[in-house]
Amino acid sequence: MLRLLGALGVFCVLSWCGLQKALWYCRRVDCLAAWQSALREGERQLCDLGIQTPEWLDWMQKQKTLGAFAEQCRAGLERSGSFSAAWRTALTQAEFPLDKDELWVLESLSDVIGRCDSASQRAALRSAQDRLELYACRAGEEKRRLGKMWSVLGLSAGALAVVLLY
Amino acid sequence: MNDVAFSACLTLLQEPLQGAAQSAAGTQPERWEEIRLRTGRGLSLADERGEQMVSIPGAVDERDLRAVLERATRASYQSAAEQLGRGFYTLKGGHRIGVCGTVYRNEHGKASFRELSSLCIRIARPHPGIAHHLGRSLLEGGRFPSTLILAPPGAGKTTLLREVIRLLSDECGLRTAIADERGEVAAIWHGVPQMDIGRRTDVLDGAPKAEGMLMLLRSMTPQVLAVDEITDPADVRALSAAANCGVSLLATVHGGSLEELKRRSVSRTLLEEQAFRRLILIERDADGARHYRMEPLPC
Repeated sequence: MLRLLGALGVFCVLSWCGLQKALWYCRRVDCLAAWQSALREGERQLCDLGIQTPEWLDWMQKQKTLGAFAEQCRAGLERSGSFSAAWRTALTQAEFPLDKDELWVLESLSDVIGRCDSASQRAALRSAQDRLELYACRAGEEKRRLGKMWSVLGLSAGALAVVLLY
Repeated sequence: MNDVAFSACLTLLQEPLQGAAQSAAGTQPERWEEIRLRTGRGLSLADERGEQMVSIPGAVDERDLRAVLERATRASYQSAAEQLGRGFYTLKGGHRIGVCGTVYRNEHGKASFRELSSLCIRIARPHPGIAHHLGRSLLEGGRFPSTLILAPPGAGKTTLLREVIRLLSDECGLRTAIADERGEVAAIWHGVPQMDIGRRTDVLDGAPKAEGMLMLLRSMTPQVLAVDEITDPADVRALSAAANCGVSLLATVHGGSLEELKRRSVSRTLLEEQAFRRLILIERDADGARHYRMEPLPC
């Protein structure tokens, strides 16, 4: 009985690991989609309407994926007065499921948003959106291939462990 | 001693500039009128006696100036671009940042700064009561005769103008309107005047003076129309039009004396139009104290 429970435990852990890895790919796709939407809205609010940057962060706080990041960034901005420092700190602490190239695209916006005229901000936001779109396509492809692979791997490894242990 | 206005402007600076400026301000922060930053050079404080350089580690660079604008605009250069394109930005409290640098025109023809070279943070402080003794003589027979304030640059014309507007509005009960092209009189911030200009005063902020005066005449039916710094023939034509509509005028003009006014073409035209009935001259005595002398203009 104990061996059965132990084997089921190992099955659960290995399956969970595989599924978590698969879930990471899903979260990455969602995260990139959320950022693309946020930057599109940023272009509209900041460059088309001339709305203040803190108001754009207030809008972002209401979005599910980016809410915590935006809240931290807003608080950092109020505290230090430096958007660049607040944005970078919040990005580091948010632990988004993004690789370093994707994070670099977002970090590079910290030196432009709220610091330049509308034309320069628009150019930077559009460039970031274009790059994120490429990364989003790649992420979608990886989700289909690798997400499935990791789910199957996790479940298979779990089943094998049950067979070997029991 | 703590001076709220100086402290508010100081928060725009990053460390170590903020600490250095605070130390240099000493025990009389209320005496300082400006904080200046110049790229590649330094930080200074200015009062009516002159400019005092502040000892800082290294030199000021453009990032320091950008950081000041970032704090001032709440990281929203894009919403401040209109004002910044005209070389200034008004803060809460009526303080103003003057901007200097390399200007370029964007695709829409609007001026913007490619590089910043200097910032001048002008600290606004109210001076209530400076024209109190003029109060009784402002009206004649219940009406305000059109009045011109004359003084050299830096003598305090705008400050006096603001205080006279407040007196006319609050104490004389007159409906007053200001064509405030550069936002220096009312210092509008998010639609709210940061300087006390009276409860019955309407402000048209940002429009060219001549155009602004005509807009106010049509839309706000003022009893007194006020404008700062008459410099252009178009301003003189608009003032004449207003005078012909029966509106009393209050304006400022650069000059040391009536004779000097008569020598300059724009101000000579202003006098010939006889739109104004009297003059307020700002004079300073040996101690630097200001005195205001009112006299009728010759017809």
